[in-house]
Amino acid sequence: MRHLLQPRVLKGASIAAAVSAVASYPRLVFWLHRPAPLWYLEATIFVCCILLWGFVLAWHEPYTHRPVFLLKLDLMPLSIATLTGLGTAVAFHLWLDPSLRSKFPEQYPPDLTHWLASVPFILGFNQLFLIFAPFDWLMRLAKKRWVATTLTGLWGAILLALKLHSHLPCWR
Amino acid sequence: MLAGRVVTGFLVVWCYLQGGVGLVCWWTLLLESRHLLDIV
Repeated sequence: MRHLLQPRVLKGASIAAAVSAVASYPRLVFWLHRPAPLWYLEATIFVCCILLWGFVLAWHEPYTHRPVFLLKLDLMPLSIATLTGLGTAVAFHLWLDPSLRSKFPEQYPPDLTHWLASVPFILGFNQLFLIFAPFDWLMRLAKKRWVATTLTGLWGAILLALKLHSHLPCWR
Repeated sequence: MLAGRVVTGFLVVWCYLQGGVGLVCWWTLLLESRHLLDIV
């Protein structure tokens, strides 16, 4: 906990949370059936992101010995990430998207404006919620990379399973 | 579908460890660009 409560971490987490909240704004504007006012959703994202970015900024470097932000990337990881990113995009487009689109049509942007609104949300909030914060929280908890990696991968699958389950037709 | 989600989770964690948040953003941007094939 001593890492999490450092002023440096809290300041960085607040700035990063503000960026995440701003990045989420266009996506929230396009959300047709919002359960709460826009300002309330923005405030909720901001407060939650302070905690999530706090996990990242407090525990990533001490437990993985890797920086959170790298200014200069090596060619090899960049090449592998590019190839796997393109490969995954093709695999999703061919095999996963057709079935997911029929289940969650609202999550697929119908035009370029919606796409431009959804990408900052995915970059600023989704990956923080699905990968960065859970991985660093698990690293702090388990102190083993393979445990944190496995459970982070499973976390995404569990959320997807819950989402699929909630979209099943109700027979009663 | 769930297996695909687990595999992509592993890939993103690998990117996170190798290149930090920036590399994950690049990887995610490539993945999300697939929608442009349908839109444009």
